[in-house]
Amino acid sequence: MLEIRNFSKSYSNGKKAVDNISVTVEAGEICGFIGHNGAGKSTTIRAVVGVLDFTEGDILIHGHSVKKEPIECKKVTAYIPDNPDLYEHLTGIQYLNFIADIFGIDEAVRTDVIKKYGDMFEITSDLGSLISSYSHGMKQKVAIISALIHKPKLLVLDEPFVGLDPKAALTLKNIMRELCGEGSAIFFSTHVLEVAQKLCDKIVIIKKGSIVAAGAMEELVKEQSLEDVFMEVTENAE
Amino acid sequence: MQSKLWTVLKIQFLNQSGLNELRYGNDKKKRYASVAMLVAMIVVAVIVVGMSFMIGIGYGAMGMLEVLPGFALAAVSMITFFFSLLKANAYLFAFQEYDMLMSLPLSVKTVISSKFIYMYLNDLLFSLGVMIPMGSAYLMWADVHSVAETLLIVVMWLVTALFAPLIPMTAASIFGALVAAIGSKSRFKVVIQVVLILALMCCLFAFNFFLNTTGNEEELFQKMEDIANVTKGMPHRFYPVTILFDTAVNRLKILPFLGFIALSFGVYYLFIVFVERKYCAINTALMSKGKRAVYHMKKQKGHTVLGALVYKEWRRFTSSAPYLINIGIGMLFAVILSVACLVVGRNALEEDAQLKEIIEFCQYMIPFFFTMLLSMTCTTSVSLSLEGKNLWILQSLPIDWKMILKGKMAFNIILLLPAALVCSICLWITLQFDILTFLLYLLLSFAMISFSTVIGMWFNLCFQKYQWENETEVIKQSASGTLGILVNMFLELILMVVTVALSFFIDGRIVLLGISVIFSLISGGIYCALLSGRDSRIKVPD
Repeated sequence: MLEIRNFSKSYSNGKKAVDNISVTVEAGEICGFIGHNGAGKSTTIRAVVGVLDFTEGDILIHGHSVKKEPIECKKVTAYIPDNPDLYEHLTGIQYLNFIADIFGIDEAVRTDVIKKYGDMFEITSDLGSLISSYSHGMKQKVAIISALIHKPKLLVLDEPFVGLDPKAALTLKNIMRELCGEGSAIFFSTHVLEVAQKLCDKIVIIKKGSIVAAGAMEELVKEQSLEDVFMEVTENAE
Repeated sequence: MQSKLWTVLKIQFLNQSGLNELRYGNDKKKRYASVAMLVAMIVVAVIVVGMSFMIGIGYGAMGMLEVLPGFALAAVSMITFFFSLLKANAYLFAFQEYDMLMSLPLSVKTVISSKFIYMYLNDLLFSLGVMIPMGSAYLMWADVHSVAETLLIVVMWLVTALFAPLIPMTAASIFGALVAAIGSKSRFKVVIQVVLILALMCCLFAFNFFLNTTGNEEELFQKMEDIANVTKGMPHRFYPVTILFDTAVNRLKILPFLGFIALSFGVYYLFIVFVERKYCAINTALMSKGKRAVYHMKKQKGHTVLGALVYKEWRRFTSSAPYLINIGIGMLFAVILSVACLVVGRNALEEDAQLKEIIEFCQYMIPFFFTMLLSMTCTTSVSLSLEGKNLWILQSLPIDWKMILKGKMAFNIILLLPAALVCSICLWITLQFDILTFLLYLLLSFAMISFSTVIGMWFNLCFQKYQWENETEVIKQSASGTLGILVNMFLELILMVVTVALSFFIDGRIVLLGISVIFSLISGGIYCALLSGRDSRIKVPD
């Protein structure tokens, strides 16, 4: 579903944020992407969802190249950024309808989906208020619902649990499992290693723009905790 | 307080001026944008300085030197007041970094002062640009007898230039504070703010009109001396503070001069003390967004992609007072003026044959005046930059950049077309033109609106600015926003002159038709150029 091939990203000052990384996430898999602050996680994620331009390497989503066919890729992808900067001048329901309009979602379907996830996140009653009146967590919930509105084949999340209350975090984890069960793939970054260990089928650890460890969770962790593995590989890596 | 105020001011300047981008930025496009902005500002400054100097020389040549100090101060004050009115609210209240500043160990006075002084520094450049050349012209014509007198005049003009923006800025800020305080109690904050500011502006224009029309008309146009007398009285009546400066400079009196300085500073200080007490309360009320009643899920309605984008633009435009007032003002004035013409104009035309002749002479200038006002509402010159931190939403959606641009351009045209229609119909009824001229007015409006829309979009694509703290940085200070207004304004003025000149040789209607066709074609060309070319015209911020 997602194939990152030899992807590198250098900024205009010449600094290499990500250096030649390759990751594959199959349909039905949840892949956790972990690393220190500034390791290159958000850069990679923003390139995957077509927000960031890049020249080196390629990224394929459902067989389409993000560089050559960005629209085809975006049609099957959903993205939730680390900081949900949504349109503050719209109400929650107007924002969700805007996203549904862009994806061409049928009126009846969007109504059902918004109702379903709105109730799950306990935010339906607040959807008539302006987004500017929402807390960080509420914005995050609206961002999550907007990402689910078109049943994405690939869900990309950057630090999705930041700002969510425990119940909402649990709901999101259940939704992620449910989506994978339906054949979608999930690629997400997190600093919460316990959650990553419980949720992910696959883990990619990145340090200073390079992958220092990657593989199936069971093979990588074995008898240890993910935290131990993370500390070990990031400290031993050059 | 002084050192803290200086620190906050310095940071504000570094953050908003674009200087850091020039010094430390690696993004060449951003650096070019900063340089282009600097060049545009220099061009405007040269025009302002040149015009001010020529006006000063003109006053001297006509023997109206005594009027010049009052006129200069009144002009600076009026323009400063007008522009401060449009931005004071956004600068002083509910700005983006409010929480950050107020959580620091800074006094409320320091925070307000830093905001006010930063706004003052922007206006000061204009004041110096007008007062120094006019003062130089004054000195060239003035009857001075000693070096001491010359020095005194120079000092008075210079110091007055420094203090001139204070009173109008304070007045505008007081109004801004009142508007903010009134608006903060309501759910319809934006509507209340816009209506109150527009009402004040209309009152000022009406007051100006009243001043211009009162008095004996015979007296007005008898002799040059009479004009001087009438002109002399104007600044005093409109802005009585000018009496102090007039007296000080013309009669070399120190006391009125000191009185002006004390008054300017006193007014500013009182404002700070007055606002300091209610500052937190006003901001808290402005920034707290009331929640609506419980939302009950009902069947949702869908739009086309373009419709959804246009609706988003509409919500953005109408939910921000600075955006609505600064960008929408041209369109609003065009509509208000055309309706006013309809209400008052027809009777006046029927009663005054001379006025009718003047109107007939100006009939090919009038549409350009209205299209100039309409073109000043150029949302496309800022709407892309206004996406700011929300840009990721559009970029991650399955729509290409062409559709994004189409949505922004369609919104500007949809916004302006009804206004153009209202203006054309009002003028048609008032001025009793034939149907052909009416259709030409409409065609010209459409051509010029299309042109301002595509050229604004072009400017915004060239000078994209997504990192801003306060949206007025984009609306009032960005290279694309400034170019969008200035280029359209000057172009309309040039076209107005060209049309009048050509109408002496050929039928003016043919000239209007020709200009409409030419600008429709140019607009079409720019539109095609905008939607072709590279894969991604929207620059992604790193």
